[in-house]
Amino acid sequence: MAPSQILLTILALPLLLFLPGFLLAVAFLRPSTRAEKIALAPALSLASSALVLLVIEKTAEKFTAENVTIAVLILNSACAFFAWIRRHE
Amino acid sequence: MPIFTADLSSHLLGRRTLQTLLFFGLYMGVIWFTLPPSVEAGNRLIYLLYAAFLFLILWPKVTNQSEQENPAELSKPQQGFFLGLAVFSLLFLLATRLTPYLRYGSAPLGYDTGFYIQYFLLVTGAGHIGTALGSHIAYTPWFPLALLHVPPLLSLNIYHLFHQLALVGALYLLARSLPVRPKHLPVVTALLFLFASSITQFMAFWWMFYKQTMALPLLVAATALYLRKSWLAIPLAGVATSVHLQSAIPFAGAFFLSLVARALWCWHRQKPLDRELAITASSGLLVGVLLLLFKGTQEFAAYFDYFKNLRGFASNAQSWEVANAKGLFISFSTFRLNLLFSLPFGVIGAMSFPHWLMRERPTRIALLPSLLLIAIILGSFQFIYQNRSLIILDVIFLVFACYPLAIFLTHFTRDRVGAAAVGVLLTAAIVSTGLLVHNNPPQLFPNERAELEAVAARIGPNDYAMAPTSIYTPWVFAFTNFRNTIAPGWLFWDKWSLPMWEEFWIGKSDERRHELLSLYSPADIYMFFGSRQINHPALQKFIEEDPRMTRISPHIWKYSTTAVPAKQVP
Repeated sequence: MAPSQILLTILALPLLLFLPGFLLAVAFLRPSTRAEKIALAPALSLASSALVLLVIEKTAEKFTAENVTIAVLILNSACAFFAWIRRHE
Repeated sequence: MPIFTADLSSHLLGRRTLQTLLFFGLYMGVIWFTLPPSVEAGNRLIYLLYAAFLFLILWPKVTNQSEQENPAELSKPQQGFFLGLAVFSLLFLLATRLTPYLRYGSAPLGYDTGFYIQYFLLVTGAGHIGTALGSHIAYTPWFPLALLHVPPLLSLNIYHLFHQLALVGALYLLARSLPVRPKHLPVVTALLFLFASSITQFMAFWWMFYKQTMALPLLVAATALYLRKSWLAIPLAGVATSVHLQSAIPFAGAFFLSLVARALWCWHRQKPLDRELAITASSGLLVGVLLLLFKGTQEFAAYFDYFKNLRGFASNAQSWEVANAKGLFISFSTFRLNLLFSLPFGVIGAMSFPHWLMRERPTRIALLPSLLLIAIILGSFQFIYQNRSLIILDVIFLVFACYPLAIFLTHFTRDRVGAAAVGVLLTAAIVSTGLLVHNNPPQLFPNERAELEAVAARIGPNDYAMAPTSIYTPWVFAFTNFRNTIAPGWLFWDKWSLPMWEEFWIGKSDERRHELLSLYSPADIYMFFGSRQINHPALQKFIEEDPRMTRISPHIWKYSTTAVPAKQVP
């Protein structure tokens, strides 16, 4: 793997495997401590990423860099939106 | 009045003593029965004495007969001890999971890994899973990494390690969701330590069951969220069930059992079925709907047919399929041997759960004892996936062991002598797991992998690679770059029946071996005999002395069929 690809992978992994779950936990796991949200983040991220990618599998002709990137960004944005709403309730 | 009070107390004391004696007898019986026959009489006696000692200390505390000994607050040094042990457990877990990679390179784990590499290349190459594989949701996370050009084996390893971290997180959340007193810190620490030092969990990691290790953290997290009455439990359980249905079966069975128990309790107390029961039952139905939605009815029906054909028992499979139907993993007897450290704590926790686990949220917490019961049944008898159920049984057993261990650690860390005793016990567990991790060989050594990769260039389009035993099938297939691979009872190219394979493995006639191999004529066959393979003397002599066999490398021989014309072989 080229160094740029390694860097891109290191940047992409948290968007896939940590951030969505953590934001979902912030939004919907109440009451909870920060450590509990962090502990739940990997499992929730795995499930939510897999689900969003399943939508591509079922609707698009094939997986491409474009549709996967858009799906991951939409997932993270939606989770951030939920977290923001719940924090300002 | 004082006389009456004294009589009552002595009566209660007597009744309680009788109960304790009964539980002690039951406890010792369970320990005795659980110890595998391979434990020698002397060791068995020592272990039973140790177990009895633990019971005498822990039983009054976990059943709250000595409330004053369970203070709500930990002293400062104790808090430091528990935090330190939690951090150490995480580091030890990381060390045990990375050791195989550090010692044996990038491919030390798993049996099916070779096939998973093939699946990865197949679906990511096509850009679509389509009808290539079942359990679509398990494979969709591969695509982002493939699009980032992460190699298949590295992608699988990243996810495999990530699943372990997700499971630790889920267990932490579960421990924090238990309605236990005094504080959560000792309980969380005890559970982390038990998980990190569990040999069965390491072996599950070593076998690299991709779908099961992906489903398990989701199921444990869903259990924790269910106890917290969070709706997030529903989609998590739905995804987990779609990823690996077999892993979800114990959880689904326990969920159903806990609902039935609750309904019976309502009926017994002549109470109407409550709202809580209706909500939990609806949640279960929603998970079922999500399962069908994510997995599809056809795939679900295929699983159902498999279970129906074998009537639920692995023992109903053909003799050569029994190991596969049980799920390739350690046996029940080995599992019991691996359990020696946590066994007394787990049994005490399981026998005393009404005292420490059922204080609050009685409706939902009933899921845990139900899960323990179902997992014991599925892991002890020859049901389909019996051996794989042991991974789930181990996890739930550790949950029941964590509270007594936490009480034990809290009690003994109050002074230096007790802390030293605790240190010895924990060190023994760490050393025994650490030695196993260090000494556990990989399924394929790096030099064997290098030989397979080197020979791949020599194998022509009409030639074959051969794994004469099934223990190497996926590796030979993957590391010869998916060349035509002959393997017993698997893959497209195998032309032999089981009796023919037996003639090749243990038959005395080399002439018959030539006849069998001539079925692949005209071609060269590159046979891989790995270091874990033990050959029958007749086959070994054939390999070493037959003029048509040429040694290519330390573990690979070439057999040339070109000199032998193809003919009908009975």
